Order: sequence, then structure tokens, then C-alpha cells
Amino acid sequence: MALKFSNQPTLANEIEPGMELEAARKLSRQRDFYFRVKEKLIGYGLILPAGAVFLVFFYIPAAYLLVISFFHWGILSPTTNFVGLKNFRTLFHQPLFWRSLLNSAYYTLVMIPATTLLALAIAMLLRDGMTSRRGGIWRAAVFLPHVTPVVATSIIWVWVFNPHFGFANYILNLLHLPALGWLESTTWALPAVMIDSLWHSLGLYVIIFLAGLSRVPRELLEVATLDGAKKYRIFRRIIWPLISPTTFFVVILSTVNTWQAFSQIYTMTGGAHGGAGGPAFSTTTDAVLIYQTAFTYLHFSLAAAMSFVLFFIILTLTMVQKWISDRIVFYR
Amino acid sequence: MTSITLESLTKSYGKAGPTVVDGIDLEVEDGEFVVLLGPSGCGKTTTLRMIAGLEKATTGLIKFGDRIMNEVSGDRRNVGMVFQNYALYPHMSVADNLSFGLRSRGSTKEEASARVDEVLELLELSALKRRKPKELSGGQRQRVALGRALVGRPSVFLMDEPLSNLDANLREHMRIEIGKLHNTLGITTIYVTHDQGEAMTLADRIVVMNNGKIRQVAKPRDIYNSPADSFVAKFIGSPGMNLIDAELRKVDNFFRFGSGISIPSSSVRFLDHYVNERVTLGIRPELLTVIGSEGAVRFSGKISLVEQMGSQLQTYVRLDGSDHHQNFIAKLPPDTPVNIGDQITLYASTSDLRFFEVEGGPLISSAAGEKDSPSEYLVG
Repeated sequence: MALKFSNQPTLANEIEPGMELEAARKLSRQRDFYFRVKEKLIGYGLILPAGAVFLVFFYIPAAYLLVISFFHWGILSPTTNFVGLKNFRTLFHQPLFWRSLLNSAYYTLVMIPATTLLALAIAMLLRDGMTSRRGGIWRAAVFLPHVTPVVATSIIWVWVFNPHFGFANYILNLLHLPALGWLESTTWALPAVMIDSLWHSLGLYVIIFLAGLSRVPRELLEVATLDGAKKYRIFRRIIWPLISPTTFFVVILSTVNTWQAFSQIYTMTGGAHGGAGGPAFSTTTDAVLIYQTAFTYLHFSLAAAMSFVLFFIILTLTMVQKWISDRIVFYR
Repeated sequence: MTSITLESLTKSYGKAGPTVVDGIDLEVEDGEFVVLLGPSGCGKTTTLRMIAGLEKATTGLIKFGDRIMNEVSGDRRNVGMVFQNYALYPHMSVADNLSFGLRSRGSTKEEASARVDEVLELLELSALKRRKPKELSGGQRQRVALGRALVGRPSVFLMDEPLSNLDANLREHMRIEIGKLHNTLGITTIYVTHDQGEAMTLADRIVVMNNGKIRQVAKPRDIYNSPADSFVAKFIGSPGMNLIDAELRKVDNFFRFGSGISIPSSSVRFLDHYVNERVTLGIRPELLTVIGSEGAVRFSGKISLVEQMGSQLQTYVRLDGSDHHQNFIAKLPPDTPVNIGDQITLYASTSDLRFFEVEGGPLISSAAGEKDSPSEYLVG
């Protein structure tokens, strides 16, 4: 981080007329060195508070996590034994781990396109009213769910999905569709969680898309209109390419968030009663399984190995997305 | 190509919002090059956008030929528009920027490609057709923007300050290019600018606007020589016309203007009606000299600032007995021996003086005694 100081003194003033050329150059080099060191120190000093928080609460635990994944270690166990890759081998031989990976993949594969497309669609609808008072009210309404506590709203969603007197089945009934078991069904429990997650997270992505859309110059849309392009063509050929960096950011963010989704699944599938991930493990995702392994079965080293695998999956997905984005995302 | 008529065209934003274009009337002939000129916020761009169909007129009519266009959408008006910041699609090549409109209107790939090549050749851009806008210089981008506006064979060409993002040299070059292009194609063109140099050199006629109203419509030379009012007089020219407000008195055979300026009454008899009233006297800085002939009007004062401009000395004079603090500017030959603090007498021919009613009022008449203004349109 290089800071520039407008009041930085010029070296020429300190080089006296009678000074030898070599001495003057040496003085100049020394002064340059001191200024560079000073700039660096100030720069690092400014990022130190945030860096310290990151180090203590992120990097050190992450490193510790990797270390304990190679040990047999329980919170109540007096001894800690190095077991090498045994935890990973155990993991890969557990059907439930593979089930949790499949559940996470299903959850992510549905959530990413649903979140991205819905958020973009809502942002496009809200875009025209960006500066109006009514537009502000709509934006607030869309963003509001994101700032509500996940656990509290998930409890409300449990009521919505109650198979006997819930609002979801009431709507299905109005549409002459058969009632569903929702959270009591192995088929519909995860989709129910997805609806809650979508409702909760959409606001954030809408705001990000609105920011991206606001950066598309109005003149480009006007020129396209005068060029005779219809709305879909303007979106497909002008808006979509120009907001591709925003779309890429939303996809990355939603990938990370959905792979790590925990609170809503835990709350909606009976975590409070010790039965999260049900019915019949149909909502047991990676994050839920990691939590249960660590805090229900107190097998911390196995949970650490799972976390490391989850980290590796998210990293790989992000790298793949980055590779794709380098070929299709347009950066101005 | 087509003629354009604006009738009582008004644009207001909301019920209590400002009126940015206030009932303007204008006729642009087929193939004519008309420049809308005025200070920022005078309504010229809004007028252009209404003609393009990008803004809806609050009241009034827009006609292309005999056809009323108010309810016709922009894409059906067959206009080509060039924006101030080029508005090129940044993710498309030059060729794609030009072909986008053609393809949107249903041209086949081959037709579009042939037409694009034709326009690129006209604008000497063929070698750049595969480049993206960010790989082009400012002048090249501007030419691409011109090409995109031309490629659809528009009947009206609209330009919104197209040269304002270019440096001075490039601006001059592109100005000449635009002039040549208009001479070649003869498309009816409306060009918005606040740069009077562009307006004077390019326009068949200039429309001077201020506060949403048209102040004068005339040929460039007439706008310069016979401004319709003191606003136009001050706005046109660099620097604008010197304007002095003072009470007019008649002493013997002279009109005494303020306390120090005497004008032979025989040459400005039309001022008889304004004796004992305040009027505005105007004289262009380039028409003032340091050597006066007999009968010339004198302006005496002290030099407060001298600016060496290369081809001339821009000399700021505080007039004697002046009851205002305004500088009086003279453009003198570059070798004139003048210094700050010197007393100086400047001379002007009575035929070069202009008189206006006070507070932005209209031209009273020229000192040359031309009763009929050459301007087609005078406000007030």
C-alpha cells in the first residue's frame, strides 16, 4: 500500500550547491528509502486492526483446523494422537458424508441460479425507480428480510410450512394443488429450506445487482433504443455483458453462502430438539454434518477433516468460476 | 432527409418542477445544419432529446416534414444521434458497434457487413474495425460514434456536444471533418454545443438559447454583428461584447452616455426616444482601437490588466467616471505599448456601437441606422 503525501519535501532543497554529485545522489537515495519505509509503515499500520481481527478469528483457527484434522482429538479426551490421513479415510467411507455432499450440491445447484436470476429480475424491475421515493420503499422492502435474524425468521417459516395449518399448503389449496408434507417429507424438506434461504438472502443480491445496473451508462441504453433494439435484445446484448462482473461476484458470493448454509437448516429441521438434518438425513448438508460431528458426537478431528474438505470444494468451485469468468466476464 | 418544425415546444418536469424548455418555435430546413447554442442548463440538450424521442414533450409539436412525431417512438423517427461521451458499446468491436442497429432492424449479416464497411471506409476507419472502443483514441472513438449514427441512413442527424471530450487540436480537426461530412451527405443536422467557435464555423444558422427560450435565430455573421439582445451580445464573442449600462442625456449635438462617453447625435438619432432613460451601450473588444478618426467615440480609462495572447493584447480598462466596476476589454495589436496603470483612450466608430434596452433588453437599433434586424427571431 503506497501512500502519496502532497506535502512531501523535495530533495532538491536539501542538496546544497557545493555538494559533490555522488554525495548528493547518496543523500537522495537515503531520503527515498526513508520515505518508502515510512509509507509502508503507515500503510501496514492502517490495515493492522482489521488484519489482527482476521488473523485471530480466521487464519489461526483455519490453520489449527487443518492441524487437528491429522490427529485423533476429542474435547473430553486427555490425549491427542497423530493419526495422519485416517480421519479423511474414515470420512470417505461414511455414506452419510457422501449423502451430505449430495444434499449440499443439490442445495447449491438450485440456489445459485435461483438466487442470481431472481435477484437480477427484481433488480431490473426496481432499476427504473432508483431515484424515486417509491423506489426507495421497494428497495427497503426487498432488503429487509436480509437484516432479520435467520433463526427468528426460520421459526416463522416452520409455521408457514406446517403441513396441517401452514400458509404454504393454504396457497396450494387455493390453486387446487395437493397439500405437501414440507418439512416432514424427505422430498420437500430441502426445497422448503431453499425457499426460506432464497427469501432471506435475495435482498443482498438485489442491492448488489442494482449497484451493477446503475453503472450501465444511460446513454448506451438510449443509443440501443434509437438503434431499434427491443427490450430483450438490449438486455441480452448490452446490459447482460456490462453487468457480467456483478453477476460473477453474485455467483461467487452465493456459492460460498449456500455451501456454508447452516442456521436455517438447523432451525427448520428440528435442531433445537437435537434432530437437525431430517427427516431421514434429507436436509443433512455438509455444514449440518460438521456441526453434529463436532458438537453432538464431540468428534472434533473428524469434523475438522470435513471442514477442510468443504473448504477445498468451495475453493475448487471458486477457481473454476474464476477460470470461466476470465473468458466470459467483460471488465471495462 | 427531412425538415423539422418545433411548435411551442415545452418541457417541464412534474407539476411544480422546472420548465427547462419554454414554448420554443423553430423551423429547420431540409439539409440544413442548425446549431443550438447556449450556456449550460439553457435547455438545448433537452430540446435535442425531445427531437430524438428520448424525452417526451410536455406540450407543443415536433414535426418531421408534415408528420407529427410526438407519439412516434425514438427508434421509428429514423434519427442518428451522437452523444457527448460517444456512448459506444464498450464490449463490442467497432464493426459490431456499427452493425448492432442494422441487425436490430432486421438486416441480414451480409447486408449489415456491407453497409458497415461502406461507412468505415467513408470515415477512414476500416483498419480499426476489429478493435474495441478502449483501444481507440478519442478522435477515433468520435468517428466511430459518427459512423454508428450514419450507418442506418438517418433522415436527421442529431449531435449533443460531440467534440467536448476532445483536446483543442483534435476538436478543430473533427470540426472540419463534421463540416465536410455534412457537405457530402447533406443530412438535416441539429448540433448542440456551448462552444461558439463550433457554432460559428459549422452552422448554416445558429439558435441561441437561454433559460429554456430561444433568444435569436440567425446566420453566424448576423448573430455576431446584430445580436438580438444584450444576452446574445455578451454570449457571442470571446470575450463577449463590452456592455455599459448608463443614463442617456442630450447635451448640444451630442448624446452624453454616463459621465464620460459622448456620441455625435447625428449618427444615432434613433436614441432620441431614450433621452433621460437608462440604456445599454455595447461595443465588441476587437473593434476598439488606440488611434481614432474624427467623429470616433472615445472611451478613456486606466489599464487594470494586460494579457498577452500572442496574436493580440487583451487589455482590461477601468473607464473614467464609470459608476460600475465592470472591466472594459479591448483587443489591441500585440506590439501596442500598454502597461498596467497607464491612462488610455480607446476609439470606436459610431457604426460599431450597439444599443440595447437595459436588463437584457432587445437591440434598440444599430448605430448604422439599420431599422430592420436581420435576425428572424427576436424575443420580447
